[in-house]
Amino acid sequence: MTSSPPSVSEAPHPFDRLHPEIRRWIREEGWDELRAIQDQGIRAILDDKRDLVIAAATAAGKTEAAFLPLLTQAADRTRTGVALLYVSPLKALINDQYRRLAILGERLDLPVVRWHGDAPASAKRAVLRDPRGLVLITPESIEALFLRRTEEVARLFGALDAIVIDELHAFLQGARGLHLASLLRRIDRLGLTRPRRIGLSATLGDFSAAEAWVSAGATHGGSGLVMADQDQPELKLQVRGYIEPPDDDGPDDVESDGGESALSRVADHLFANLRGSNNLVFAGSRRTVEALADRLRRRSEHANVPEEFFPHHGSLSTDLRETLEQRLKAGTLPTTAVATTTLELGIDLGSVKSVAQVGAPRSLASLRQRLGRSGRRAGTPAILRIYIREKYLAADCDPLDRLRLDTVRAVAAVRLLVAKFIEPPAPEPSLPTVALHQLLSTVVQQGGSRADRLYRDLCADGPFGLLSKAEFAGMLKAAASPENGLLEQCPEGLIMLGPRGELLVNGRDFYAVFDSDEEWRLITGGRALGTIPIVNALGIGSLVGFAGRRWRVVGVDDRAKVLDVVPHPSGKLPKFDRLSAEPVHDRLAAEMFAVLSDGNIPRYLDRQASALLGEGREAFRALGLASSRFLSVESDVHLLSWRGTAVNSILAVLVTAAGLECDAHDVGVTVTGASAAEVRALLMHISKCPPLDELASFVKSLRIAKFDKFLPDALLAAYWARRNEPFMPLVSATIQDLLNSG
Amino acid sequence: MSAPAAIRPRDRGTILQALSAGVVPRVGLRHVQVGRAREVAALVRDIDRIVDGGSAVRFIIGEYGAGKTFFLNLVRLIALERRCVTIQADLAPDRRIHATGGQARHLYAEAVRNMATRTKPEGGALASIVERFITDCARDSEMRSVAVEHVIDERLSSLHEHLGGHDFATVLKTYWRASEQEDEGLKSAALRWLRAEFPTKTEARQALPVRSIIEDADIYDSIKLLAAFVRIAGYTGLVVIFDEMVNIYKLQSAQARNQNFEQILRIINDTLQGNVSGLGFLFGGTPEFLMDSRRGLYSYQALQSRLAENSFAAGGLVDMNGPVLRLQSLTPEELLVLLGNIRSIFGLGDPAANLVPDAALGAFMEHCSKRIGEAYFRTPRNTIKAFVQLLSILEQNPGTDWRSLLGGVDIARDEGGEEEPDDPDDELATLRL
Repeated sequence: MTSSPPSVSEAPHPFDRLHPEIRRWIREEGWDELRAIQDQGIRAILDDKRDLVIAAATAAGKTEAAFLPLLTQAADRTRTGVALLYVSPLKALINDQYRRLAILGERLDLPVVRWHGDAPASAKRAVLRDPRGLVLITPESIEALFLRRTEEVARLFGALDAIVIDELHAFLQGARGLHLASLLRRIDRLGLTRPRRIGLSATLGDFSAAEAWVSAGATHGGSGLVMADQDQPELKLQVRGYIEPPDDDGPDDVESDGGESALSRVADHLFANLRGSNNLVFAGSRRTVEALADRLRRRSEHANVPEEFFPHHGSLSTDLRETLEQRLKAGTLPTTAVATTTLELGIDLGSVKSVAQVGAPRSLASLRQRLGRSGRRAGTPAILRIYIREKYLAADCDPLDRLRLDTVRAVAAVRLLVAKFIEPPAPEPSLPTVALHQLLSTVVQQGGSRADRLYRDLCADGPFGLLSKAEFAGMLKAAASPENGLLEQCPEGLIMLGPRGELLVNGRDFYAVFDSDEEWRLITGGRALGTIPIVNALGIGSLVGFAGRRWRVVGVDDRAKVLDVVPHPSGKLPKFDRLSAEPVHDRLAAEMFAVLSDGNIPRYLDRQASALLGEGREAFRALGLASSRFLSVESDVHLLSWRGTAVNSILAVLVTAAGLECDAHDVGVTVTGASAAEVRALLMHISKCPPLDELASFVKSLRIAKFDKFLPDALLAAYWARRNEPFMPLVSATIQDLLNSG
Repeated sequence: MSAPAAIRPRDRGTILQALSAGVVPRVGLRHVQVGRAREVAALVRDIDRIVDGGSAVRFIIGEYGAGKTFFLNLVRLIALERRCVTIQADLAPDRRIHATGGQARHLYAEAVRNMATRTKPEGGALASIVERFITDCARDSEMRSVAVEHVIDERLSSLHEHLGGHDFATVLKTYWRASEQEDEGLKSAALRWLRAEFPTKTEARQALPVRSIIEDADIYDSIKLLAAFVRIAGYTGLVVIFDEMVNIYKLQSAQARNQNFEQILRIINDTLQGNVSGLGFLFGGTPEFLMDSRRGLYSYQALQSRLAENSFAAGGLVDMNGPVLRLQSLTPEELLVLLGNIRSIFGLGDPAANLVPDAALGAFMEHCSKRIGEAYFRTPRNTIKAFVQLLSILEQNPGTDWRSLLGGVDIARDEGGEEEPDDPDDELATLRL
């Protein structure tokens, strides 16, 4: 360990400011020096009391950048109560961090406790008895503490020094991020002072959203930012194209012998190129993950080589997932994980040689996150392969298919990746659902509450400020209606849980704000494989493809919802919940237009992909789409807006409200049963947008999130309008563009 | 009861301070008490039964501010006069009858901390009761020339029949041994054990020769042990007072409420069947705690049938023998007497020192009923509070005319102990669902 000479420096070197035990540990670990991010982190945390965002790639040492100084402070602490809280979206990440931090904790005599559903109970009991040290926890377990240990939670978390939020970028969007924001505000109110917050984030483009999220509720203005120097590794990239056989248009399934589906050819390529090293393959849906993993396993078996391709998705048992993560991390046996988004975040998987993606990217944020998983070692390039599957073009196909939009989107995404573009967070559609969830939980925590107090804690002084008082009152009234029965009120005004509210809150699946439906559990030889949705009608003798293998059901326990399965030579993929497609940002849609307009063929396209791009451009010219935005197909009209999902959805609602049937797609909307002239006339008419609140009643499904069924229509409509308000100028501009086009 | 003449100046301050804050004074209740003669008589019968080795249970039900706490304290003082020991605690979110997270133990600990005898009516009497027992045993051993330990064993032998009695007796004996050795640390450890203040068995085992502690599940059995012990120590019985039972109604989990109701059912069965002796329970709660068919006592079938009120007691007829005792509102006449009593306290019982004439009492009540509405009279708390404040002003500002002040008297709606809304004009503050 090197440290600056003691006499010359005016300020002590960051290393020398750490606790002696921590310094000893660093020496014993054999570190040569503190990394720049750690130097900066130590200074920022020890010199300043403000919140902080520490941004660096995974495995760049940002955990230490936060915890070395925080543990230094916690070691001298005399107050009772847990000193540090670490929040992570993943149990696996908690287990991983636990292994690293427990050693330091032991040296400093600070207990380090894992707190999630699968963590040992004895350590939890010990910290409840004598609350101190560091607790590593998931948002859902914080929720469970507020609900089930209402009286103890203040003793536990009422005197925190700091809260460290790992994978902060994952919490900037989505219901879960909003949920955590609310839980942290509730923790803030447990004690006299708000604990400082330290967010650990991947390196993203724009940090204003991350800084704003972290400093919510701060009394001392804003937060600091410590960022690692981004030495961008070299990127090796290939986009490969595949055309489905003419007869193949069903959903992905396990491979049938002699089948030549595009996915089988993708599997051939992956098998040939990824074997022998550690890789990640992002395949999108759970169904595609299973289909691809099954194909790769068969190829290993046919070639008589050890199996090294394994599936990873949310329905698999923890056991299977963790075994795979450990195997990747250990790096002793070559391993490739075929995953949904599950491996986008999380534990340091060691050195991954390449990342593959099946399907064109829709979100730059997640593409960048995936790419960050490879090329971590200095001097090794990051490798990304994107596999595009396009339809076989029959004579009567939709002209939109001729544009080869998936290939175009892949090229557009790569261009934006190079331009370092990342989507800014959008208003969260599930905000009303999360607000109701937190309302019920707060009623439990406060042992019954009052409407004005709830509004203050959740909205005025919490993350649900987008709801007005009137809307909040509407939410309370709907929750208390006899048919919902979530709330009731005692004579002097105290709001308490109603009969249905008690049932709901006492259920285990209440902790999470995301939906978890009833599911079959698959067991083989006493070992859990995972779960599949209950909608799959399965009985003894049914065949199932799951966890990359094929099974036959030999026992069904209908009451416990357990299926006993044994290996079997054939299988059939179960239905998983359909995920709604990730929204496409305006910028990506506009870039797609640019890709189709110019003639440059990038070198990273393989022959087939180049051909596909050429075909798309050819069709683009032939259809005159450079100037025209109307594309008539039989009795339908495609309106090509070249805008993102948000604008297209509003446009579709506008057209529907004006009386025509209409659906949004990735680069525009499709009006059914109308001529181009009719649609043009209609657009002239609606070029002045009606008020958004009136439009909301034409939205097909306002109820999209877990508890939306308990919310009043008026609230959902008003919130839909508010969340889409910022897009209205763009929508008007889009309509003008459409009308001005030839 | 009319106001007796003798009011000690020391009590005067305490009483007035409590009344002006809307809480029940701990002393001098008899100077304030009016009406409710039948209710008091019923409770006196209960206490007589306890003193005779019987048992009793009563639910004192009344609206917020109806005077439940006042009434419970009055009964407590009567019990102390009859040489009972009383223990008393208010339920709260972290203090309830059944729990698994230490909340039941907290209730018990709080109640035992408030343990009172005639000579120590303000609480904290546990140590003196144990001391008295030890001294008695020592005196007895001297008279009979047997070892003190032998006398203690002999007297406590009956405790062993009760659940947990062995450790209870061991702790009492340890206390004696500690006082022999003048080991203050050990003495206080024994008292801590009796007050259920040891959070874990390990800690108790390190301090005392016992393996168990009083835990959430043991509090009713420990109360029965206490009842047996105070009789052994020469008192007539134990009266347990749990107030603010509405906190059970407010629990946000049906399971938690039912577990508390189950424990209450056990207490009712034991006391009404006479399975316990020298023990009485008084529970104070609001009507919804009793009657609400979803979250109240009546939601628990077995309790509803036991507690259902006498169906013939309607139209002004009352039955004071059932376990539920409803505190009726004070009549205007009783309220007038009450105001007179408060006036007397100000004047230390000297009619010449009255701050206002009799006419002012009527005028005050008329003013209240005209300005605030008759509904707010039903609960005496705020009426008393306003009247005490009125008299305070007159006392401190001699020469002020009470008539000019009456225009400014305002009585707040009784919020039942809830915090005041931040902004009364806010639509959420007054939201009815």
